[in-house]
Amino acid sequence: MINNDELQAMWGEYGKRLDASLKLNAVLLQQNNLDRAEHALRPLMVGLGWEIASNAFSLLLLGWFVADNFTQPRFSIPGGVLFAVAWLALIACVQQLVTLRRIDFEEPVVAIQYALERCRFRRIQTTLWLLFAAPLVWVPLLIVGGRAVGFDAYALGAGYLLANVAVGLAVLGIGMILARKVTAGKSRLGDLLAGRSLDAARERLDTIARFAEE
Amino acid sequence: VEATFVRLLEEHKALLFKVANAYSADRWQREDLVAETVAQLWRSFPHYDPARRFSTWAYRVALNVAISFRRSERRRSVHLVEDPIIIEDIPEQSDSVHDFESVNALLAGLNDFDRALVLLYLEGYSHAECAEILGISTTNVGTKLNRLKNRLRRDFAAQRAEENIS
Repeated sequence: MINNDELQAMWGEYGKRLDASLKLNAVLLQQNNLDRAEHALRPLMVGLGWEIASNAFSLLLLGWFVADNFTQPRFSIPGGVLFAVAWLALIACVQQLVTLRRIDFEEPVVAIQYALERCRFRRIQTTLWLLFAAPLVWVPLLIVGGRAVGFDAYALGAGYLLANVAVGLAVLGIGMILARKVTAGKSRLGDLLAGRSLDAARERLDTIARFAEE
Repeated sequence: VEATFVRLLEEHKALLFKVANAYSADRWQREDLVAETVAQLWRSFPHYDPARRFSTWAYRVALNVAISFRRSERRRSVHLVEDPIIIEDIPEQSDSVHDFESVNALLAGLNDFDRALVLLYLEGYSHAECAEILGISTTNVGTKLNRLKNRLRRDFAAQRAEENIS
């Protein structure tokens, strides 16, 4: 049976051969690559920046709406509900962006990977939370949006509004049942709805925590 | 600065190749990973302290990039360069290539963090250096390495026995 020193020596030997056989394309590297180098997390940070901007814009509009309809609770309460949802979504995005901006790939591997995974876990949680809230948020959105364009959604009747919530919840429920039947990894939405993405993120957090434990 | 960076990279190009090989299954992903690691090393280079070993610093960055790269569900749709081949691998037929592939096959069976530790061990880093790169205690490195070395030895023997049968 091979011992570990032999394994290490074998690896060292291959390292020497690699040094001789690999060719660094220094010209290509200097001409094209270095100037364009961007942070590996930049696409995610740009996405979060857009989400923060759109949430802040929604907050401004909703704040104005609530102030404008303050004396009419039938409009200010749905407006307040949407304001609270937009505020929570904004906080979640800002927290994630702050975490990502603190990520420095020169720091020890375990700490950085735990922070990244924690951020991913929160992102999945926020998306799920927004997805489940959507059927309930739809009715206040209809009332507020209607009011903004001069249409009174209350005129549709309480039955119609409740039916909207029921249909939204039913679609979500059916979506979750179907998602569980879709093979893992085939669809991001499927994995999200079936809870597989959250489970995977939780499992990775556990793996990192176990690795860091004595 | 750029010339110094390229010189250091030239001296440690095998490191990039080994990490990329350990964390990506196919050639195209490996080349993307090498490109991404080089980009991150270059971005971090202004903070590099020349009093420290370049390889230790580069390993931290490379492992962080590699593990993050594996995690991301969606690969980068745009390459850093049109043809991202920064390191060209000149194929070689020898026993050491076979050995390298065998060791990589063993690494593939480990989780990302155990894999990083074994990689550092194979590179000959001390327990203290492994602890510094990974951010865990030296005692923890020792305990984990003992367990992993036994597993590696057992798996390698099983792999060889299988090869002999076939």
